Amino acid sequence: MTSTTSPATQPSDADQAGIAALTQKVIAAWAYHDADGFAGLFTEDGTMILAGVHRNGREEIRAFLREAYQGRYKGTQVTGKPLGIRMLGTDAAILLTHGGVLEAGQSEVSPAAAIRASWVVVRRDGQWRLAAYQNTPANAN
Amino acid sequence: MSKIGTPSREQLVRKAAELAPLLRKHASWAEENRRLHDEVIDGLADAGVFKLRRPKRYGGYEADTRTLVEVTTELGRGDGSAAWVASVYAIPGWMACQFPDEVQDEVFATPDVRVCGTLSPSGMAAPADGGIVVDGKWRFTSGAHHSHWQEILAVLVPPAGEPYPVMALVPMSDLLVVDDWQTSGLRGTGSVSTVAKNLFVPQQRVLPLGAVLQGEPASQRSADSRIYRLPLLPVAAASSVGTALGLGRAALDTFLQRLGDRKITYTDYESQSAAPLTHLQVAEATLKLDAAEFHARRLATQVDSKGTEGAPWKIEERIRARADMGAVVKLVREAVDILAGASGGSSIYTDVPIQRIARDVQAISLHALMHPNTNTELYGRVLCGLDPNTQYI
Repeated sequence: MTSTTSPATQPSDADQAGIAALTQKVIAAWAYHDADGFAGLFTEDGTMILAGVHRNGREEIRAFLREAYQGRYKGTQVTGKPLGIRMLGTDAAILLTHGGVLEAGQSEVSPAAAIRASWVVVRRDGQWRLAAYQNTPANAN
Repeated sequence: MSKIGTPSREQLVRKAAELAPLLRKHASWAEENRRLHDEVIDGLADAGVFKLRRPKRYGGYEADTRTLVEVTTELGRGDGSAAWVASVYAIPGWMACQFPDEVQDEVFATPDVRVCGTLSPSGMAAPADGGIVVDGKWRFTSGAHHSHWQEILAVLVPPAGEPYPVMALVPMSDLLVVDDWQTSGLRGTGSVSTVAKNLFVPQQRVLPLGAVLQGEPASQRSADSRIYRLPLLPVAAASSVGTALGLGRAALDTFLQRLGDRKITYTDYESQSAAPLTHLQVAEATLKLDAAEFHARRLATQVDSKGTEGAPWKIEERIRARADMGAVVKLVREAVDILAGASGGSSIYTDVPIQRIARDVQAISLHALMHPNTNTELYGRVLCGLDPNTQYI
């Protein structure tokens, strides 16, 4: 990178793929309704903010997901694709995605369920982890 | 079957043709249940369909693609979904033969083994001790319900260097099936989604996709074989066109069958078969199907000749394989449109096959690798001296 490049830089191909892989891991863990698997993608002190939900730390996230997979999210799938990735130094990045929850029988996210999300990701022991996840409805109303 | 153990093309095609009544019988069931009936799978096995592309050393026939086209055409005359699944099994089944011999020993230990898979690299993989770990979800996995293995494609992120796509072979028991196959066409194919979560795949069951696209088998025995030493896309193209051809023939069969006692309602035509309009329609559709057959035959002949000669492929030849596939789909679709459009209001009842045939052909023509427009544009761009805009050639 040249000296004129801003602090937020483009990721290398490997980092880009490694960070984007988190979306695949969430999709897979969700399909299995695997609360441990999804929560395990967060750092120990990771945070999750959804509409009406704020969980601090991997344990709280795990407990929330475990209950949700037996309730509200039972039988659902999730989908998400990267909108962009910006590096914040070598071991941290922001991943923006769009996607949402698919109810049983849905192949596309409904306008009401569509979300955009911010993922703050950090590299820990060579693995990209979620330090903070937050999403917002993509459409007003 | 012939005395030497490997049936002739004529025998295999006849067996497939004899299956048509069974396929027709279960076609509605397959649509309703969104998967093939077990009796159809058994029938395909009995007719040797799952042995077509299986290596001879495992009791297979190593049939050429011309045989595959003719067999799947006959299956398509019975039921498009059954033919589609048979041709899908023929492609990942062939891809399994690109792996090292010890992997093939394991896969082909199962008689009539069925391997499903798509060409979409919709998973991510990371290196692990002795192999890779994969997460991902693959849609459109035709034939998953009756498969033993799936070929999954994923992008491997190595510790250093550029990420690249790999093809991995995994037992179905390692995958989660998500039944999301609610569709308007090819409903009987059971093309559900499958999911891999943190799935370890040993190194010997992983190949770089590039080697398979180029036609460089990891198995020396496959590298010496006229049917396996070929690039993936032309083989996949030749393996796919039979279903479309068969559906086209089925449309003509069913149209002519119904023609006998049909009138043209609210006109003075007592018989549809007496109207010059009908003559034009039947002839046009038939000529389009003949032309489709030409492209399918040319495609299969090219693939089989290259395999026999062990000759390298020029870019133009690879692209023509895609163009021939697109042309088959285009011509069949046009023929079916004509025939379905001439089949009357009564043809929208679900027990009249032509409405299903039209939906199946529509589904095929929207397939990303089979879409006529995509293939024709690709052909034209290369004819005009530009580079292809896809790796899938």
